Amino acid sequence: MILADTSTDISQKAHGAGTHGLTGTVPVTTSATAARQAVEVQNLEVFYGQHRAVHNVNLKINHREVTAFIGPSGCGKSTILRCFNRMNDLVKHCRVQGSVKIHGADIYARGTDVMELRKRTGMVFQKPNPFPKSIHENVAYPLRIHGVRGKAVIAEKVEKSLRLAGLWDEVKDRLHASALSLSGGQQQRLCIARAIAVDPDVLLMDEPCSALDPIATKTIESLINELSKTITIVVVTHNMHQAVRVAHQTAFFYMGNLVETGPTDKIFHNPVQHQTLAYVTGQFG
Amino acid sequence: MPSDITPAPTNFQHHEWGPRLVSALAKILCTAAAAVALLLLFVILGYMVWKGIGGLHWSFFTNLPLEEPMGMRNCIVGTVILAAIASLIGVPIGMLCGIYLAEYSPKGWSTAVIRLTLDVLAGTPTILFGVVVYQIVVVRPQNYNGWVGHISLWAHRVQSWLGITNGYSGWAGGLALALIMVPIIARATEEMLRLVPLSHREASAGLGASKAETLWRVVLPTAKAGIITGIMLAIARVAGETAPLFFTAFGNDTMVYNPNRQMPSLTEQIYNYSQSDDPHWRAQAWTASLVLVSMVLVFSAAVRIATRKRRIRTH
Ligand SMILES: Nc1ncnc2c1ncn2[C@@H]1O[C@H](COP(=O)(O)OP(=O)(O)OP(=O)(O)O)[C@@H](O)[C@H]1O
Ligand SMILES: [Mg+2]
Repeated sequence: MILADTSTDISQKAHGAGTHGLTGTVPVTTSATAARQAVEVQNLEVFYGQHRAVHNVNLKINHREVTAFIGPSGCGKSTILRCFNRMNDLVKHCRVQGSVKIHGADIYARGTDVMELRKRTGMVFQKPNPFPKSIHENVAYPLRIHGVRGKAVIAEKVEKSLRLAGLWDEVKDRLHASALSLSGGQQQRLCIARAIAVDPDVLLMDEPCSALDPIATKTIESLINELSKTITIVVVTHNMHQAVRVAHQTAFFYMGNLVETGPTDKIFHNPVQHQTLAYVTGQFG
Repeated sequence: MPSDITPAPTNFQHHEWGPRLVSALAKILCTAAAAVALLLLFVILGYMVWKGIGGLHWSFFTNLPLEEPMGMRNCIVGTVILAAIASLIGVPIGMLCGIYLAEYSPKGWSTAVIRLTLDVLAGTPTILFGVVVYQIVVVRPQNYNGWVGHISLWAHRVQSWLGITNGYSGWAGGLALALIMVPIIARATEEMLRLVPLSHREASAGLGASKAETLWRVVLPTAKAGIITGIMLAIARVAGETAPLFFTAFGNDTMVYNPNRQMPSLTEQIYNYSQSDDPHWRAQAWTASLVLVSMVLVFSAAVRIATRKRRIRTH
């Protein structure tokens, strides 16, 4: 039903020996410049059936920085984000062309271990979606499926992730209570803890604060700042202030195209494209 | 046109009798129907308790039909064995069918046909399952001609490989009941799996879980309570089946534990005794009904309590 394979058409066939499939080993970055780039997108096209949602996007996302994706609703932000961990594979009739490289490895190359890719590319969704299990089990889940065994080891990793997500002090006395008993903001931080439990290199966040109140949003934003010291973060947001507050780089999309990308300061105060200026000054969106 | 024209005042006091009458009537009709249905149910249950409670002695549970005072120990054990065999075969097959339908089957006409078939089977008079098992498992046909013969031949090969004898037996009865369970459990499982929100599956997939891991660790546990309810309904249903057992388990007045032999059951004994001229035997039939209903009730309650406890502990 929902989980169906997507045939992926890779137009870039040029990467031969230098490409490392994600088959359990950490790919070695091929050049000095690639080390600065966590994600490199080339000629990305995404179709839902006949409908082209993303058109010829070329983009580089810097290592250990926060990059914000902004743009009006329906412009393809989520679609692009979901290409970075191949979540679009789950959508029937979704077709991806072009190449997406994460730390130099083409993730749409044949033989890519999608499970390993998703382990290394965590994702946080718009609506907090903890499992109907205990708080502890939610964070232990990715550890278990990636083969971590031993109660003590798991407990230690769970604590570390919850601490990183700034949730430990609030839940340490009720780790075995249902995750659904947490507030929305706590649930979202739990989802972040769950995503970072297996030490991903990249964290993809699709409007992580849109279901939260301002205080919970503040907490998540400072968490993003904190995490970006060790993890590359891409965050989709409709909130311009949020982009300004958290992002080093900002990419502005419009109708499936990447209009402009650059340092957040520049995008918001001195953009090159008039569409960007119009959007960031609130003239449409 | 200027848009600042004041709207005409609305009269909220306006009465219309038509709609009010209709909703009042609908409410009365629904309530009355529910009351009649409930009343009938209680009358039936009450009548059964009234008729059956007199025969409720220890001897009913410890003695056999031909002993004095007569009892139905063998029938109670037989019903439990038959339901157990049926569950052992029917629950895994039914659940796997349901999982296939909800998670793996391609969208389209083939799945629709399977689903429709299961729905038809779930509504088929259960005597048919008895006849089919009788034809294939119980009797040896004169020859193995035609496709029915082929099925019989293979059934007999599998049977002798498993050490199951021909003729009326607990295995045959259990198999007939299992066939009744499969469509019920399959559809219940499918419905419950479909209720699990996409966000759970996405969350799991996004963490790098394979489809099987997501199914086993997230989807099935989430749907567990509903699936268990479906399984219990199916077990309760087959525990009350009579007709298919006539062709398969047949019945036995002695104590049997070996499913290779003819197997007694409460339902079958109820049927036999209720036809009797002897009022004593008819009273036994009422007591057997009371015991059967109580067994199903206690079993359902026990499963519910057991699964609820586990939920509190892990969540
Ligand atoms: N599963 C899908 N099937 C078909 N079309 C889709 C699907 N998901 C998205 N689309 C289409 O792709 C385009 C881009 O959608 P996408 O969700 O990426 O936009 P977005 O920028 O994230 O919007 P929003 O800000 O509202 O979340 C839209 O036109 C949308 O209708
Ligand atoms: Mg979106």
